[in-house]
Amino acid sequence: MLTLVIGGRAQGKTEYLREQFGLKASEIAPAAAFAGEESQFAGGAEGKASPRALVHLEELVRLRGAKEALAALEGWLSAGERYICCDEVGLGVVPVDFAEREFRDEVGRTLCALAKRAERVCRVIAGIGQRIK
Amino acid sequence: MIALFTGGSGSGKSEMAESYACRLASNKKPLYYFATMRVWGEEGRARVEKHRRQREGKGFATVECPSRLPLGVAGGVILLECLSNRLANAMFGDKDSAPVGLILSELDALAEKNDLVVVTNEIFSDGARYDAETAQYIGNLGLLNQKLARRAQLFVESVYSIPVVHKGTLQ
Repeated sequence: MLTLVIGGRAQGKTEYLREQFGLKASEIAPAAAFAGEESQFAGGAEGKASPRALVHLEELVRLRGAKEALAALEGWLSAGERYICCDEVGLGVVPVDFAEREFRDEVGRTLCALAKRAERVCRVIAGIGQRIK
Repeated sequence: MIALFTGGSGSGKSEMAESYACRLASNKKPLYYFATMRVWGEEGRARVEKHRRQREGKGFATVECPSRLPLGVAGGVILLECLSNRLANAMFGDKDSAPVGLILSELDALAEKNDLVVVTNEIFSDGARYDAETAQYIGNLGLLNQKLARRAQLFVESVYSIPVVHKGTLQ
């Protein structure tokens, strides 16, 4: 089961995760940790425990794009109760720069796919969450 | 008490907060307008004029607050417009070393003796990367919004003049 938490930057999304869903700091990792060829949470003798929550999904999308980011997360997503936090980035002036424009689109696409799959979607503003799905 | 109003540029948040402040005062309490904008140039003057006209006849006493907020007011309704300018003045004008703590202490002091209606700004979702100073400003405003929303009895987002209530009841 997936819970998606979205909102602007500096809105207290990570704190919201911890308060609302009882997640500990040690269970939360940056999504960009999934940017490498192999996840650093792949298990094995030295593998770190898999996090329950990923934050700053937009950074993973910036590195890998929507399709690859989703593919990189697939195994993790289907392995239990999961939480993802992502900054909303598409509510400003559309940038002139192609890469910046594409980044916003790719984050949007990623979030549409995850929102569809999520059981719960919360939007956080000034630390206050509203469940929109 | 504290009521917090947010929204994007041109979202109608000022008018919404003004009407709310007027209803709170209902001609029984003195109504103050704390104007935090430092006025530069023609555009700034035009903006001040627009807001002045908007407030005309509503009974506000305007208090210009380009720096520290005056804390001697009691028993009134204060509309603070807006938090984003107050923070910019503290960080970039006065170069206060701990602007978030300073502003929160001002607001707490005012809210203890008055009904305080604060207008802030939604600037957090444009995806742009900024220089360190601006990024710090955005982070500080986000933090101030969070701390105020936690204290507030009422927290409303204006979406093109439609009130979306995140906390409390808008009456």
